[in-house]
Amino acid sequence: MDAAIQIIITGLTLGAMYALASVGLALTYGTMGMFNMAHGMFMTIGAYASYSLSSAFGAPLPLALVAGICAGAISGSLLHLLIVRFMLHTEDFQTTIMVATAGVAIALQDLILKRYGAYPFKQPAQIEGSFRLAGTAISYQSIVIVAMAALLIGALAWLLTYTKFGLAIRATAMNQDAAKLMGVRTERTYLQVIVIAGVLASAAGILISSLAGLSPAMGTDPLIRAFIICVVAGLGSVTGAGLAAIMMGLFEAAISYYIGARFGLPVMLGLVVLILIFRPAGLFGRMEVVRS
Amino acid sequence: MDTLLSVQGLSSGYRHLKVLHSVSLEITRGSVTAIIGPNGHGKSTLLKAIAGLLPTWTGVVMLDGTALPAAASERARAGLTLVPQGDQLFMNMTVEENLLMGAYVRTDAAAVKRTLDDVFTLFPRLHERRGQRANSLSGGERRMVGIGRGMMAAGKLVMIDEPSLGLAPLIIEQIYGALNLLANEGQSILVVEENPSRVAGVASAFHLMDGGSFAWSGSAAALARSSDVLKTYLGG
Repeated sequence: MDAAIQIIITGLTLGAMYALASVGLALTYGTMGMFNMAHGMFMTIGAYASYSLSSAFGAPLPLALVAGICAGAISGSLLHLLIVRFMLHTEDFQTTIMVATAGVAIALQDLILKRYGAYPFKQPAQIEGSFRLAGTAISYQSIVIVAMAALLIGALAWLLTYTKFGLAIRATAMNQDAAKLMGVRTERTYLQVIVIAGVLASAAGILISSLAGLSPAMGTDPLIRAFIICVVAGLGSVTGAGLAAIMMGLFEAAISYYIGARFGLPVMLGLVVLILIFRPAGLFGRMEVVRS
Repeated sequence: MDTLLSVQGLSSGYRHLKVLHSVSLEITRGSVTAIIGPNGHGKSTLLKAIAGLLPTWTGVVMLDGTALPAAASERARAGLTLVPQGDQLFMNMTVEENLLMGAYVRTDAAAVKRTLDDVFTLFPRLHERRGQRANSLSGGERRMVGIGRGMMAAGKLVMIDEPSLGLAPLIIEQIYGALNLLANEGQSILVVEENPSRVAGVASAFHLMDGGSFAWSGSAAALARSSDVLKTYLGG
């Protein structure tokens, strides 16, 4: 029973971080067909920005958090304004943008390596302490992680479902030309989507670094996991990515507990292969079935 | 003559393939104009180029005396509405969300609500299905959503690409009944159809498109007298 609670707590914490990391990736892919290889760098940049602020200026936790998220939003808008904008109308955008963003990711990672060095740091923005529930120790850190993920993803869901802004994003994702004919300035929508992805990913990065520490390559592993989650959910499905992330977190926690931590990722990959054999469009992805 | 839309020397196409060869067209405010002609001769291309979905290679498109900007979104905001071929609905949105997307650039909520009521009066079927997703609708219902979405923009000119395409005769009658009502309310309409018989009763000006330019233009009366021309192009 203790084990079960422990697994659920760990799984939910992992799942919450994975969800933050993958929802933005799914949104960018779903809206503009762009698989953003620099998505992991949003996480790294967010984590380093809040690290710099809290270690250099001793900024309190909430301020460091907000600064990190702002850094993610700024990186997102710069990525759009300096690169994506010019490639949108090129042929084979889906392929070329993957290569371009991979290049950006490598360059940024090297810049961070040069500035901060390869030595991993501990994220100073930490929440200490824990409480006991039914005999299991639960850290406040986990609670904050889950609460933050729920807050940010909830805000995104509300935005997409109930606002005109979200309606425009969904319309652009479903049919770009039709959205333009309705007067939606789709290029601005793309900018907004990348900024949203930057915000969520940098928040994920800060939370991940608070557990695993900071290193220039810290974004790589979460990016791979986010990618796996998006594939399992069905590429482009935002709600699906959130649900799949929680499932994957719980699954990984169980594997780590019963088999060993190093089997987490391999078993996850095996599961993905199985899912793709039996459900090629992903768990929540639908093959475009249109009645005609 | 009060000219609403004026197209002068418009050429456009896909990549390196030129489809439209210097097309000129004038549309009078409050009138219904029809472009007819065989398939594959640039009728839809003309509408897409006017709407800004295809780039203008040469020529100008003017609405209400001002030259329109290049981007489709800006042309839509200027009051040019295109109901595209094959409806191009937002398939995972509900009927009502699709219609509201049509009014995306309008800010007066009360006026939007009135137009929505108008659409539901014109197509009561859509009111029944307003909570249903577009991908679960029949072809005729989709066409209704497409036209309703076009109405929601309350634009100066509505361009409709082949409203009868792929529909059963009974549904086509309903759709044209609706277009007639719109026209009687003074809505300026530019409609594209392959077969002139469908639009003959609605439109007052006709253009026959062949090989990317107009081979014949005239009024409804002239069309009735020129059955020979039409037979040559469309077969008897």
